[in-house]
Amino acid sequence: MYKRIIPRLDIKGPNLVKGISLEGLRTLGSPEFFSTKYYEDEADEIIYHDVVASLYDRKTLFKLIKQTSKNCFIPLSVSGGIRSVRDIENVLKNGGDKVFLNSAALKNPQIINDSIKEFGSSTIGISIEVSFSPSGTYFLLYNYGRELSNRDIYDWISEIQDRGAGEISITSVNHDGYGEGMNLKFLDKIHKKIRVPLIYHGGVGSFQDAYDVLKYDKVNAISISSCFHYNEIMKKKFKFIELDEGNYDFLSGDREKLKFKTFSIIQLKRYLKKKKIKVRL
Amino acid sequence: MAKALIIDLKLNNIGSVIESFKKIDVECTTKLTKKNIDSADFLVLPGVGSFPAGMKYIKQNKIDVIIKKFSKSKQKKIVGICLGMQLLFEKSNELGLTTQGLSLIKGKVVNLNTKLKPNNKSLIPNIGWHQINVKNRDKLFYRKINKQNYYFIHSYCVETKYSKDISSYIKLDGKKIISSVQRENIFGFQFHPEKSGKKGSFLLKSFVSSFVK
Repeated sequence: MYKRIIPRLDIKGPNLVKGISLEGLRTLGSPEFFSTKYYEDEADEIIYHDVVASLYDRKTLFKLIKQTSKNCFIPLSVSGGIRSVRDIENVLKNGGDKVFLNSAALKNPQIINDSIKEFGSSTIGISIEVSFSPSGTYFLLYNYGRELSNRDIYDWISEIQDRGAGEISITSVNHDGYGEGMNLKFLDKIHKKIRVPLIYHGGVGSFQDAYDVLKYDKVNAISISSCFHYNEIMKKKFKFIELDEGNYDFLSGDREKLKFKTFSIIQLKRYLKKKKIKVRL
Repeated sequence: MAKALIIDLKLNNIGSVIESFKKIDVECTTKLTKKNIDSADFLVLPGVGSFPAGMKYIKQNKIDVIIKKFSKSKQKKIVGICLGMQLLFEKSNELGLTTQGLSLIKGKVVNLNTKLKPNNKSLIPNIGWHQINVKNRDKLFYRKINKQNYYFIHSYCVETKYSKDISSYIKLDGKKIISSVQRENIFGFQFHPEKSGKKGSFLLKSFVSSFVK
């Protein structure tokens, strides 16, 4: 089994966006442009996360999924705003392959069981947004880090697996977008509880960071945004079209000032292979 | 141009499957009209979904009758992908109940966790890329796909009654897990060729040129 390297694309309306700790979203361009690049660059899978998840935007999202499935012949996971069995059916029908639930599952955990009955356990993953207080207590967020759940995060991790969720994706909100290292302490705390494939997201800023996470047995995959996105944007030939919607301050400003170590998927995979992590190359 | 009849179980990744066949110039239809059924060179039963939900839909819409009739013309081919392959078998115990399958291949569908016990280290569902090992390399098609990487996503696996129906396997925790089967004109892939990048597309193309037209 190879460990998976998954570019994660946060989507707002027609745009790819990226922020810090899920806030201050910069528009980075067209999601299709990036997903096609990543497909060519040996991505093992792609995640689309709809950050607004409003009912109004659903049509735009489904159109995007459909278009992506025409260019990218690797698995496409979709998360953000999936509320019902019907929503999942729509994602799959349009070319998505699996989904991650968050808010909907926290509100009504029975949706996990119900959707598994229809689509099988391997199609239904749960995404978890984790944050911590200065005192070191971990808690669950939802709605793209905007709301706080009163459920105990450790109980929740056990419960979703008992209910049959096929995969868990963890985003460390405090680390997201900084590229200054990950939440390994939290991984240590939950590692024993994990029985299904785990995807880690948030904080990767170097090859070494990715290695440190993938060393964990149960971390089956790592999802990365900033390093990969900025790598494309910093290329001289990168061009973008300004749409009516979006925050273009970053793209139209001085991109050279960006302090972020960037790399491509293939570059990362070559490094990991050298370090004896099994990756598909 | 080869023609494919893609079965839409309303719970599978039908979009991806159609796109990947279109990409290799296969004409696709999902409408189960007599004309489409008669003119199709092969029938595809795609993956994703639970076994009981898949069979329920097949029975309710009498698709089992269509598939069984289709399988009788030996020049026509049937391809099951992931759950679609599992549905070709006699029975499954997914979700803790025994459900009868299409019985086109002898054998059953079992839980991967149970299968791997007691030495299981793998996280189930088995999600990710594996290199497959082809069992019988007589046919050019199988030589072409041997040792290639394909994308898997499943919590159940098949056990065949006849070992000659096994065409390839992967290894999980030291155990052989069947990754593809063939019995005469019936083919099954546990992995998703339509989601396995350029190698997957190459497999589909080779399949069509080797067995269909």
